[in-house]
Amino acid sequence: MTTLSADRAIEYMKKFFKKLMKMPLTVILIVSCGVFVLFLIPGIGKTSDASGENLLTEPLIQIGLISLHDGENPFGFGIGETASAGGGSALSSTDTSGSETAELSSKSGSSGDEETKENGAADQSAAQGDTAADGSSDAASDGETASSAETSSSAETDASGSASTEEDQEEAELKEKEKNLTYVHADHMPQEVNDDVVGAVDYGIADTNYMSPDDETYNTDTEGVFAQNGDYYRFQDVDALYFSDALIIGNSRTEGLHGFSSLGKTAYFAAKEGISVFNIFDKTLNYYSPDGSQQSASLTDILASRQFGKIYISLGINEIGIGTSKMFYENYRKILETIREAQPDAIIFIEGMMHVSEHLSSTSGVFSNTIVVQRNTAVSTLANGHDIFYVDMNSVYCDENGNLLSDVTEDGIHPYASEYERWVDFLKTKGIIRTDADRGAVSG
Amino acid sequence: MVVFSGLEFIFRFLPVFLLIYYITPRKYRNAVLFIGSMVFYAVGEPHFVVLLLGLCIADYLLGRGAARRGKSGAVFLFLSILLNGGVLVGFKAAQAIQGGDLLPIGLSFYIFKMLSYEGDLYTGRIRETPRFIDAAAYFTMFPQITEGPIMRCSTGFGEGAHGAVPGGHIVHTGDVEDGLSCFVIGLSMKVLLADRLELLWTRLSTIGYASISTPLAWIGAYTYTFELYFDFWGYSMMAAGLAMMLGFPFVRNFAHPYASRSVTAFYRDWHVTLGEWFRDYLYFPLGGSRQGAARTIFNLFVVWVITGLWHGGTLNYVLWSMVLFLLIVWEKFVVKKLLRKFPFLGHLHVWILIPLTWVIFAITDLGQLGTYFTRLFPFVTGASPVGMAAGDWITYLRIFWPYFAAGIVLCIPKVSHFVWNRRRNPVIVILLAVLFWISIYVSANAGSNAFMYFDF
Repeated sequence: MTTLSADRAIEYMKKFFKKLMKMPLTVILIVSCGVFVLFLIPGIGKTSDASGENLLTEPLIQIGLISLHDGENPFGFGIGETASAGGGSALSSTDTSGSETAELSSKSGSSGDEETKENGAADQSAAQGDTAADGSSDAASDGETASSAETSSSAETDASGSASTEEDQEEAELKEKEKNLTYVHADHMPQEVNDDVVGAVDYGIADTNYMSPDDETYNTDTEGVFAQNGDYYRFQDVDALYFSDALIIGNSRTEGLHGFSSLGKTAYFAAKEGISVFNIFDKTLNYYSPDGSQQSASLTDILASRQFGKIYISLGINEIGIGTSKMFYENYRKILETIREAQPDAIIFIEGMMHVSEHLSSTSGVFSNTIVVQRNTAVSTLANGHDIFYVDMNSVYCDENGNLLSDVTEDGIHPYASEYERWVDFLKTKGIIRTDADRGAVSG
Repeated sequence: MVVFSGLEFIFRFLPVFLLIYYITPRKYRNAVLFIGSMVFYAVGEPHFVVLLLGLCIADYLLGRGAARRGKSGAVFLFLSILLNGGVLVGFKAAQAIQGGDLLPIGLSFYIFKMLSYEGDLYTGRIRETPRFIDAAAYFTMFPQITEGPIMRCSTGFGEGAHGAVPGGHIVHTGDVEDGLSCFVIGLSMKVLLADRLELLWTRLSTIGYASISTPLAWIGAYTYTFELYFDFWGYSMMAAGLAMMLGFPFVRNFAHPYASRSVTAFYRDWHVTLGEWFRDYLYFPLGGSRQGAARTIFNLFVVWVITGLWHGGTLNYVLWSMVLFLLIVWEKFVVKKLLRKFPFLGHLHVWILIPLTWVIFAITDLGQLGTYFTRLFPFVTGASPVGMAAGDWITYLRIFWPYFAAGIVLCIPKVSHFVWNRRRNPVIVILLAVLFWISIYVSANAGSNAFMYFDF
């Protein structure tokens, strides 16, 4: 009896395998998926976030393929263990901010209605106020912009201990500076040396995971390259020649500026679609010279290749759904420090990121001008008015609600090709000229 | 989940459903199919699942009446046309007036299946009235509910059909294998070709049509042509493959339309199940082409107006269908002999005029559409053919040429016949397995990570 059923079982198995042999693709796909999952299971802790929530919403294979794409090791065994560390830390810091923003959401929700376009400007002035408060410990006059007459006398008193020759030299330098009508000497950065952050209507749907609490401070630390030294310059109009020694760094919007504006033929560009403050030094960028040549190079190599007179930076939209405003700020700050190290004399322009259209901002929690404005406000505090400046092109690209004009864009993010010249015209009103050398490569 | 190329469908819904389906005794399989399909639909369209259920019940009952044939049958047929047509027209009209996304997923497709069901019962093409569960499974079956193909009840559910018994289907292992091969082929056409080309088509609108060069505008026309073809053909292959895995016969929705020799022939091979639907339930009942030239032209006009409105409620669809109507009349009555003499002229119709009609199909805003055509034909208005960026078309051709090359190769009927006939060849099997993994890798990283699509 038993042998009979065993025979039948063998017979049945034979039949089964015969059938399987007839469906090789089915077998290959089932087996390969099974093996992949078996390898993924021990690595679950590495690939899913702490809550394990993505395991409920996404198939394990999807999580595995995504982490492979991000250069992480989703498997249980230990190849490329270090490679996963970077991504892991970014994730964990996002998580902590998530808990912080929980309480924030109720706060911003209640004030959301009143917040209009002054929102950004108010934030900015508050930020400036903080700067004043921090710097005021050694200054007599508080907050007010000092006139140049006052400042020259205070400069003299500062220098009183030095040797007389040095004193003469400094005085001569100061006189030279004062010939420049855009020069301001003051104890604290006068507000008009940088652009105000252009605000935008808050539609109350911005994803707070990508923001930082409203009371987050960014400007307490103005040491090193960000320190203010009492010498400030105001913007003035410049011509195309001004950009002949400029390097313009940015994402696809800057690619568009290169491809579709007159600036493409005058300035150097280092741009690439998809780059962000998180990956700009890891990616190979398109490096365009005014003579029309194009190379692929890393930003590090581009910065080492020659000295630029001005460096413009426009980043932010790709990482609008990554990290918090604080993380964005921290990475932006590091980028500026690296650039400054390689380019000690360049005037650096932080370009506030262009807003998105009303359609996006009012329907997407991520592509939200509320987040854009908060992040612009954060990085604007890095400007020192001396050799780092904040410019905000949204004053020429947005409607009265701070939304990207609907007739200049199709996707709500990029201006039409025909609308990039607006950006150039804007930058031409935001030149900084400290000495004649800043006027452009030819005269310098 | 309602997108076949999504990983939730491939790795969650599909394996679970197939396992249950295969272990279910044959006569309960249609019940499983109906329940599974309702779950599938409810995930994508939680509100309108009630509408779908209501229509299933109503159409089943009306169908019982229509099956009586004769005068009383005609009354039921009329009522069902009123109901189904009313629902479809109502939603389409609301969509056209309100804008936005009001249309329930797949409505245009399952309403057409329901109408064909009633018509087939009335005319006797379905000889035995199906039971409720069979009819409901036919209306809702998940492989077809979102984008067709508009399979006939008599092909999959009627008596004498492929392995069908009341209540369910016999599934042969060979059909599972073939169905999976179809699915993988369709998946890779959609994910690796159509979705890639879509990036270029979107890019053109981002640049702004006014600023593109004339060569780029033409590249754009072919980009959309290929994108639409491989998206829809790929999706139809996936749907047909899934249905085969459930024991249904292969439903052919595309028969190499770009190899055809006239616009008329093109539309016999493009979206075949829709074309046949219009032929059988509208064109023939109107008298077809047997009642003189004037009547034929009128019938064609009616068919094409309704085809246009079926595709969408904006004016560009009306324009699109009218251009096609004129082209077909032109071929049928003016250049018929010429085309027969010089078949190459017919190919030119297909290869040049069809892509231009797709541009009309693609751009819903008439102002933008006008701009696009002035870029395609700048000399008409005396504009310059050069775009904002000189040589823009070289830039994009350099990136996208492999997709165009693959697209052209796949348009050759012999190529796909060659592959299909050797689908059990180990090399082809391995190739398909590799394509599957590449496709899901790309799909995983495009779907979950919104920022891959939005690489600014």
